Amino acid sequence: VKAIRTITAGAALALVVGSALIAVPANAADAYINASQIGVEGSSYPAGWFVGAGSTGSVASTPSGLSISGREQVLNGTPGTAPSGGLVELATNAHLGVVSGNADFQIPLFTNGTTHTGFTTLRPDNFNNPGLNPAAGWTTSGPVGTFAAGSSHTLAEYDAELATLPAAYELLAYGVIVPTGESAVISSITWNGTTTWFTPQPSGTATPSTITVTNFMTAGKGVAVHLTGFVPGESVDGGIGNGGSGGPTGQSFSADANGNVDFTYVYPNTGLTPGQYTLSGIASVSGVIAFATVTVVADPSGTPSAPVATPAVPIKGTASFTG
Amino acid sequence: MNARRRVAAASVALAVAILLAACTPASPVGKAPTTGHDVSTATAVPAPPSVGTAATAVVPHIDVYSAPDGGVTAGFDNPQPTGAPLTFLVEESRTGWLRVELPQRPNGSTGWISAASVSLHRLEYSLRVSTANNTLTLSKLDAVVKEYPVATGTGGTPTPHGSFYLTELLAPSNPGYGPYAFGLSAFSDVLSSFGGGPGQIGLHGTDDAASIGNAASHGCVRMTNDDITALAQLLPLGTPITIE
Repeated sequence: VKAIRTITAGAALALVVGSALIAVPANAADAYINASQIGVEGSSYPAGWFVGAGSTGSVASTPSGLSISGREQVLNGTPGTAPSGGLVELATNAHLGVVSGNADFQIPLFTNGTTHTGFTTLRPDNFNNPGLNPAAGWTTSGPVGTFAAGSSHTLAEYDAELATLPAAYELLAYGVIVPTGESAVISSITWNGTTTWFTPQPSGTATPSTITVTNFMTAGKGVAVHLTGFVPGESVDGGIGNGGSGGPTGQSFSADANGNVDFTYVYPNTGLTPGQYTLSGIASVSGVIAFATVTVVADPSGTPSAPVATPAVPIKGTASFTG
Repeated sequence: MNARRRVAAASVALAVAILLAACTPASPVGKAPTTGHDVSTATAVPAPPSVGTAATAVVPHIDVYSAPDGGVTAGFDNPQPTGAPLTFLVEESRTGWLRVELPQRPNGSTGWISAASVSLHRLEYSLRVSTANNTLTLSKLDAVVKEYPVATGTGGTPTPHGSFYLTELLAPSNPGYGPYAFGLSAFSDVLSSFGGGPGQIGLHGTDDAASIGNAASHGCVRMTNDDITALAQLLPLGTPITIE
């Protein structure tokens, strides 16, 4: 099982300049899908996410991800082409993010991609364990070469058997199935270099979006950070960076019931250079990354000509402060 | 599940490093990209030359705008009703404009004023009040000068927390406030008026020295008369005061 998010987040982040509201996938290959965007199967598999034929359950979006009640198949009809490493490579780099419940991965394919025949679906034998272990047994619903329908083999064995067939196989889709009587919440699925997130798209705001050096470092001031898109209840670690350097803030949070994290950040040092800083939250389990940017500007007092203020001159009068 | 957690945790650490190192800086700190080190040790630049900037009105009235060249949201007369010069604490500056903290409700209000309507002065002193410890700490730039015992608000009339500044200095002619009383840009969260005033928080002396060190006030910060006298002879208007 691989990391949930491909670590190329910075490429997207670098595109962000000066905005306090960030709502972009951290990876260009990421997509955010909610239940209303999931289509239905027609006479053939459609492109994108759809509910497979024979589904009698339901799907709904929640802050934790896609809530699926069986029997339901949720598939993506755009699986891409198989890499040179075949099914083993695909499964090795895939991930099924199960927040709760039971769901099983499945890979529909035509064993003959030229004639679009030989339909079968491969599913891990060990239901209730969403791991995509290519070395474990996978059951095929239809025959694959000499493998009988209903037999179990490793993905390496499938790759070898498929290689003996006269035509290359064709990937049709990938996705999950939740059987009758079961339910599951799926936060994400990573397949063939693309991660689909069923959680809300992460976003973040920093208030204020522009702050002086002094105020960024002053207790009681600092920046109020609001981040969204985490799985409710999960642990989130704070981070700060400005390009030249960065690292964790040392703050840890628990996402609230709506998947939000709010915190105030005060720069801990006595020295700070103006510039654009990114305040981030990184979920330790789901891998969700949300962030906001704040622009730190020089103190107005940097004007050399500004003289030092002199003590106030008291005014004789009646005080009416709260006392 | 445990395996996934371990892998995910490791990937998060790497993600932090790459995510943070890849951000485009407006002003790089001049160090080579690093991988996940504590940013608190990452930079070494000189401390700012002041703790803030006071903006003192040089015109009889100042309008406050929602944004540079935006709409007017408030207005303040100079001098103030007490006779003190109208003073703001600058938060941000742009060409011809200053975003300043405002001495009005709600606490923490800011707005934009014309830079031409004020004169600027650097501030070297700052104050920090701890309502938990009933102390006031005076600092000059980054160095603590002295810590004073104070009285702060009771549970029913708490001293509001936040970042404020000194708006005026009175030599009260009425009893209860000691020889000097600074007005703050803070207002009580529970008292909309007090003693004919708008519920403004003050920093002042007292006729009740025994209250010092306790949560005993209606929201104001009380000091001994000697201590407030020392501060009155030292602090400019605009001095930032953080209450936490």
